Amino acid sequence: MTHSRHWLRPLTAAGLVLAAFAWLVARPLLDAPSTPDAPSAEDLAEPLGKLNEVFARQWQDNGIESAAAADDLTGLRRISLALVGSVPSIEEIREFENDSSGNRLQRWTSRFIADRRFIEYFGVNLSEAFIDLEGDNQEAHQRLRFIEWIGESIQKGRPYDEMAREIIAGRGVLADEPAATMVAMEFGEGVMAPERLAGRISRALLGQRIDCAQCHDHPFDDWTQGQFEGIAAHFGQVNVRMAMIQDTRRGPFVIDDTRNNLKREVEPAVPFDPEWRPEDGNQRERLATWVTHPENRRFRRAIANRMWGLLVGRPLVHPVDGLPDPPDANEPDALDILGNDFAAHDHDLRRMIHLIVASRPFGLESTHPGLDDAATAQTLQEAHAVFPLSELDAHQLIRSMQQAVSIRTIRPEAEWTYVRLKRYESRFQFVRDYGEQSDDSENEASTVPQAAERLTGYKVRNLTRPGVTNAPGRIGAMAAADKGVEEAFLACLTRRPAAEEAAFFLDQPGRNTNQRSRTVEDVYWTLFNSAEFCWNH
Amino acid sequence: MKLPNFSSIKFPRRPMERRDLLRWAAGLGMSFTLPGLTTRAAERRGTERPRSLLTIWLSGGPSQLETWDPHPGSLIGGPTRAIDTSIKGVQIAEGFPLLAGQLHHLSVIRSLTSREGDHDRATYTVKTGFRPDPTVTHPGIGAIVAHAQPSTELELPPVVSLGQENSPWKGGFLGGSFNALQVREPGQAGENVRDWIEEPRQQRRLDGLDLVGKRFLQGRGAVVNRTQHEHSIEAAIRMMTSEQVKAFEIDEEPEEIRAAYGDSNFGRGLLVARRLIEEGVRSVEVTLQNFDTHDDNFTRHQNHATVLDPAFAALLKDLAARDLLASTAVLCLGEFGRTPRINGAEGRDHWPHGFSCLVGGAGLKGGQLIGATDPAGEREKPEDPIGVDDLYATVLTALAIDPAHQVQTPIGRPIKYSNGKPIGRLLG
Repeated sequence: MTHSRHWLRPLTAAGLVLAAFAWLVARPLLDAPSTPDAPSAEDLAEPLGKLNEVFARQWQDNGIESAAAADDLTGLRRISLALVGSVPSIEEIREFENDSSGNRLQRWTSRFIADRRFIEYFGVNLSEAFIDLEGDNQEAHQRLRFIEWIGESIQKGRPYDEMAREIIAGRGVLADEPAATMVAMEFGEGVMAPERLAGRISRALLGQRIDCAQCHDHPFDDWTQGQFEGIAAHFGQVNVRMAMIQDTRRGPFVIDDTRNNLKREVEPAVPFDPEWRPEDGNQRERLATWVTHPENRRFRRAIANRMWGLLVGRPLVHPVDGLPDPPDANEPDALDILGNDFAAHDHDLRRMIHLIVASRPFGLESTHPGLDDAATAQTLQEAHAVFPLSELDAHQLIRSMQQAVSIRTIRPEAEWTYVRLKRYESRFQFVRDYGEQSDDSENEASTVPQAAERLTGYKVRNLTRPGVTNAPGRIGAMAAADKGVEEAFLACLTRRPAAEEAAFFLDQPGRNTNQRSRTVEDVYWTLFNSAEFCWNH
Repeated sequence: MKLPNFSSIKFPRRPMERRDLLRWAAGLGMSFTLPGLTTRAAERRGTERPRSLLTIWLSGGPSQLETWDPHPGSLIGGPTRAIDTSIKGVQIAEGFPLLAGQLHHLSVIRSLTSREGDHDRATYTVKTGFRPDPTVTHPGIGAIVAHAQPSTELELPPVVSLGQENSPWKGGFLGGSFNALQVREPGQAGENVRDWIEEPRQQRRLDGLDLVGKRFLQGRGAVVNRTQHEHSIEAAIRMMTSEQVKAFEIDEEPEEIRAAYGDSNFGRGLLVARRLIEEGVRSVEVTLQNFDTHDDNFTRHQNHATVLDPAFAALLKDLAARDLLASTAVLCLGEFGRTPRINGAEGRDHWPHGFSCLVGGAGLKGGQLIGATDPAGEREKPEDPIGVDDLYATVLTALAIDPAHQVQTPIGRPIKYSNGKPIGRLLG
């Protein structure tokens, strides 16, 4: 019997190979991206007016003049880098330039938020506040689920306070509850999970670094060790078994005091306004309600500061999780204005993004006559009177390089599976070797290993090498060399070359396609290594 | 503000003549008769030399029982046998006969302890000497050494990581300039430390970079200067065109030396490490990976030993012969040890409670034995426990660096190089 079926085997094998091949080359058919509606200018007018007034007053008080307004292409580059993690494609630049609507920057902001790349890039950046993105590979799937959940929740306009409550108090089987990943991952790491969670929650959701109070009272602020432990005690009932998160542990929460190696029982408590914490619900739910209480200004100020940092490259208050006590409610600062508008509009993060993009500081040039002098430069930057320079992180850099050498907009959902996997692989390798950015962004500066990687590393070399299908190859094959240089500049720097730049790059031997391709490769190499490419401006 | 002018960087012709000469001399076993590759650090020997740190990183968590703390014949010992070493009364696992003959250069610590049993957290702890803290990123010990003793003569990065390391030393709050330059396949082509484009074309690329850079500078002078962008490019080019970059290559090494270190990525890494240290690089780590032996612990450790033993022994001999050991602290460890209990898959699991390391050089006493673990595997706590921070305080002291020196983090928080106490028995 079995013998007679032998002929089936090669056929099955061939079928499997064919199926695998079909899967690899499968490319979904998709419509061109649509541009969803953006909030209208009138809709944003009131909070925007207040926000801009705060900055205008700050400039006036300091006797400084802000930088000029940046052009729209620069604005497009900024929102593209912040929201989808790469410079805009030539395709997008052309379309943007042909968009004659009055509020095209707002429309494109909406479009980028709705983009699949928004989840892959912005989702990752916001997730970093809650979970460690590096580490044990066994948790890779959990991390991805969490990132998708964050990204998609923003895209759908889910209220952020609701999201925060789920992150703190989510229960159930992890596969169905990506929000519970933060709690599950900390418990997965073993001892002291409640303490680490107390630190995470105060940093991510309250903008306060009270972790230092884990071992001693906070040196600068009013946080005490007791307050820290009170937050941690809300996680004393958590039980994680077989990917199931529940609150079934009995008995008091016991803390191991590292100062004197004594064990102490600790009651759940909150550091301020205990009346916001309801009597009913389990401990985590009570904490979640307290953190997101409508009167808790720290909660919304924290996310406003974080969002400002993700969009502008520098948070309004640095470090992003070291906020001072809120000012008098009658004298709202920029964080209050952003936070209050946010709370009044269903905690919709999309709206907050729009408000920040529409604000005066976001639209300013990154050049200013005062920036040639170090002291003046500092004053201007601290008053948000110029758009700050910030270094592209490794993800932005490799995504931008990949985009710049691609003819079409890279849309993960529209690519052949094989191409997409290869692209992810080379991104992974680049990020691994180029290095994640340090958390201490005060120290932000290019390093020699990174420069060497860009100047001579094979990953960059492979990208700039002209090929049949990539932009350097196609541009090199174009007969009009001046058009080619322009395309390369647009693709990398989102601007056209100045006359002297065009003259320099055109003055190269280029009698045949081969030589022209080398010239284009050199242009790409040069632009990839320029500060203008490597820094957001 | 002043920017480096890339147009003025002249690319030296490839020094072929010199290279051929060296190869010829090496063939005759005469390489020592030639002047050093540079007139700088490499020429100085013994204690006059600036001090360096060389860490051999066994990533994944090596088993103390299959390396420097065997317990043959006990319930926990497994099949691993022990051999005598050049330190009287100290035995190590049988897979290290060559190292056993050189062990007197080093001391053995069998009671390292940490509180971290998860790979990432433990790696952070053992690489920095501090437990993970979400509010600050501590620098790796290699970065600390480079920060404490900056070199003005060096055209190479001061911190280098060789091999397939997933967590190379970082600068942390000391800044990205102390991040390790990583070379994953040392002694091969040196792909990220060499330039590949012929000179006239490279020169033209740099001229273009100059032009685009100057335009970006307009109206941004002070802030662009702070980015260090142009300066790191200049330093990278200086590195790539420097004579010193040859320290990354090993083809000039005599055949017998290369053979002694072994034909492995790790062996080549250790040989490159010696060359880098000779050149004045402050901190080098060389990684041998895959020690996470939850299964098949004994065979896998034997296999690792065939790579580690010859290379490590050759390194110690080489350093001693070149009078570099007196100025180079040598450290061999991983993020934790492995359980005394042997699991069902002939493996051992994570064990941060009493694990082993080897340490010596830079004037540290050799031939010492510190700590002991329970041969029955019942007591978790070893005798004479030594914290990772104590180990680093000791190494820093040996390198003439004050471990209690405080550095301000960017937000003004003062943090010491190390919170540990130097181990008196290891200091002269």
